[in-house]
Amino acid sequence: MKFFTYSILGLTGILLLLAGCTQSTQMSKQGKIEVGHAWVRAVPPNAKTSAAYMKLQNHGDQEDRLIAANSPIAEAVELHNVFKQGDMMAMRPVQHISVPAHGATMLKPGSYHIMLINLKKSPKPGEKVHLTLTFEKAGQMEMMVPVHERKGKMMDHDKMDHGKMDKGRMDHERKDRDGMEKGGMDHGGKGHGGMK
Amino acid sequence: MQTKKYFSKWCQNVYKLGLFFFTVIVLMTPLSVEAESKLKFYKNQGGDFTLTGHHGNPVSLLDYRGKVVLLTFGYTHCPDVCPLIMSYLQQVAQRLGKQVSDVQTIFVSFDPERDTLEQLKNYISHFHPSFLGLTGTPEEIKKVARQYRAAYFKQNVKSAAGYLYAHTDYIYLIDQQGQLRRIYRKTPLNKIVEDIQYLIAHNN
Repeated sequence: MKFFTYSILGLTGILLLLAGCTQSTQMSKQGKIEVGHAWVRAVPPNAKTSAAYMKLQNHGDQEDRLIAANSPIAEAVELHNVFKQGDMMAMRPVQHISVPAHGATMLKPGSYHIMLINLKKSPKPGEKVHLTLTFEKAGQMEMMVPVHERKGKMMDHDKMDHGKMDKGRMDHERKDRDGMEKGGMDHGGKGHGGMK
Repeated sequence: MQTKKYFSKWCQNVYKLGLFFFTVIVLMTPLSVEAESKLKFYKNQGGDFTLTGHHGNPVSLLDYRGKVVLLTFGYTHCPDVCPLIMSYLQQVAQRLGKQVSDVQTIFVSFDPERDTLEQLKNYISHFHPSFLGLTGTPEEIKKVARQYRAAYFKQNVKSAAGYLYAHTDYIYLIDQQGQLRRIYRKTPLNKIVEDIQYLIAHNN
């Protein structure tokens, strides 16, 4: 009798495991992009351009690509990359920004960024900017992105993921002391957008 | 016996004292020499120039004798690199506190076509009221850029932003006598502040 009960339990366990696996395979097939640490640079009232930065995380098994972005505050939105050309920093529009499977791509100052061109309204600190991202596989994603003077200020506004917040603030202070805004955006609250 | 004991005690004390002073000296030396050792005088780079200030008046580097000058080149349509530098210089100014009155931050625009005086003024003063934007004719700007070996060129890329520039992202530290003393690129904030404070403290 005891043997019978245990084998039923064991079988149920196996079934549950299988069910779980199927579930996760389904999710990765759809592709899963998570956007974190997003911020838009506050610029002087008459500035024509600004930029949005964020961490794009791909939880899926396949590479995905950010292929377009849109915002009501700018006449045009382009994907750009900054690269070094001799002693100079040059910038060029890119067709897409790739996010590797189970990996992440950082959009940060001096690197990939979403360029907001011909601003209809200049982003001010404390405001939030509506941004639509289009991914090749994951499709469209809408989000409200906070505006900051510089990386790190985001901590004041980000109310999500408190666990990481304190560590983030310390990291920020350290970075602020030790260096420019360079370095990964490896701190701050999480996610201003979820998958649709 | 007694003298031997005293002698060994004396030796111990001298040793301790020596160790103490040695440690103090070793610890102090880098602190006092560090800032100075990194500052140098550049030959054939830098020097005086005159351009047009964002208020419309001619501005010369000579006007800032007695002040430490932070100089950088850029353009206001720049979406990523220049705002990064400006926000960085803003932090330097904030970090300096009252000493900011001994420092003049100058942004030279090499895009006179789009950077009108009005545009330049609104852009620059947003970062700090004391910051000054300079521009001039393309030839005048080129001349100053050459003096400082700053480089820029219009990139041939298609963007809704119109033309974009490739450019150097240096910040030049000029002392109270108008001499170029250091060139920064991605230098930690506190190092710049340290250098400025050194120059302010050692200004004769």
